[in-house]
Amino acid sequence: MIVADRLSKAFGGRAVLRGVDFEVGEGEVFGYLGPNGAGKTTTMRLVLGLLRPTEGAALVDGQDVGRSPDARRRIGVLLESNGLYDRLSAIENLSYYAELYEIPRPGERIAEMIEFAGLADRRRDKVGTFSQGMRRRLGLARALLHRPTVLFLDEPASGLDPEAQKLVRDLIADLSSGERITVFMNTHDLDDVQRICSRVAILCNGRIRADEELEVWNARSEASGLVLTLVEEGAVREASSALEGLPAVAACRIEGRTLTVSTHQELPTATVIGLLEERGIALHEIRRARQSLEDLYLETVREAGDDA
Amino acid sequence: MRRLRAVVRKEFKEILANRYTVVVSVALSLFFGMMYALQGAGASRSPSPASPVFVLSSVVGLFLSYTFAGQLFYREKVSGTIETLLCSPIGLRMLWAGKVVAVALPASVLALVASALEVVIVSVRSGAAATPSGPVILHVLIVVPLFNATLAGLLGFAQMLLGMRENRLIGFVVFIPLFAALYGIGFSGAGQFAYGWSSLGALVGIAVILLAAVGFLSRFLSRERIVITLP
Repeated sequence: MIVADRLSKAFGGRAVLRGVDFEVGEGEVFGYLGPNGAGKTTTMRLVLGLLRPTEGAALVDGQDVGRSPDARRRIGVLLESNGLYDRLSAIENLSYYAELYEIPRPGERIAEMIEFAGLADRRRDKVGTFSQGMRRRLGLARALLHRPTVLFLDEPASGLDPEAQKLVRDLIADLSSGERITVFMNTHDLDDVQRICSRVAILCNGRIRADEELEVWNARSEASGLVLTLVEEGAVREASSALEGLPAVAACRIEGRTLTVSTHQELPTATVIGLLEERGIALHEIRRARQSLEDLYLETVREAGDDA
Repeated sequence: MRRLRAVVRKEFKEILANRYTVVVSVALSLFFGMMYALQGAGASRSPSPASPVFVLSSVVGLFLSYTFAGQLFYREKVSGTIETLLCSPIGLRMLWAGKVVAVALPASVLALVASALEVVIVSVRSGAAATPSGPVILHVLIVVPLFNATLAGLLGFAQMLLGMRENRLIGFVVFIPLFAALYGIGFSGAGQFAYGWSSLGALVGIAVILLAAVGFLSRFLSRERIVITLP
């Protein structure tokens, strides 16, 4: 459905995206994560045809969105501004978009989407009088008005209270599971990602550093490390060097006589205990450390920073 | 055409929904109409209102086009809604054209109202019906809308492609002096200017050429340029 092939973009010689590749399949909810300035918005704008790539290409359903009105008819977007006019009512806003998308029997569909946004009793009120949450819901209704097959969301839950965030999340999850809509979602919110995404990519410094199914992230999270407390602080460096020699170990962090071991894959505690015993290092305690998605995200971002 | 109509209709709604703009625009049109009739050119000329109407309608039309263009083009960029519109099936030039029509039409109608008011006041003051000549009537009905559309198109083009600071600068450096000059010309020299068929023909020709040039310029509108100059 959505393909980015060696997508690169530079502004005035400054590279913002450097050869980004990904593919998002039908019905997937693709979470695109990254710190501020990583290039997430630039990627979305390139895929939406709002910017031209310096190199590479981005296609939706095999078409360049910027050049094809047909492709634009099949996508829905919810960007930061919600695409709503404050001086027009909810109905007037949706009517405008219904005309732009040439929706047949617009009255019925508009009424349906106003209901979907939970704004039936405020439908004739100006959008300028709405709360952030109401605007976001109406923005989502606007994005879905013409029944798109691909939905692009930029920070869909930002600025919303927890109740409105849950509502928006539930709506997106329903769209993906019920109507098989493909969703491309820029977000900072790891909670969003864990609750609704089926795949997650992390972008740092203009490059994708990780792109996995959420299940893979969850598996990594389950088997992501060990915390060792040694009897003597003096032995901690030697223990760290020994463990770093194991293929399953990604990194070790020393804090006093405690050693936090991050792993790429399952590392049996017996292996660690055996290794330390061979070196005569006395162990006070060993326990499994379960890293959250946030830890994994931060680790990926940190590693990307080290590489840059 | 359906999409063009949709843009024009929506932009009208936006203008009408902004009470401040509506009140100020109508008040300015009436004010200019009265000023031209009661002072300056109005007092120093014959009962025929031909020349002042020619200048007045142009000044009011261009000034309101400038005001409305700011409402429809600049605001769309400031609010960020333009980005969502660019992802819809409407073409960029169609969007631009719809806004140009939505700016030029009310500006031209209000220019007509101001001119009519001026004619009425001059007639009342002189005690005789001061009917403008054929060329002047056609000027108000044809040349003024064409120039309004040209200015709206040019402003729309600039406001879509330039950054916010550059747009403000253009307003101060180009348009405010331009309106001041037009206003001054209206008071000082309009009474002596004979507006005939040849003047009308020349101005229609110039307006059509300028409008065509602005239409050609609109080919250079680019999504990328609009997006990278968003605030």
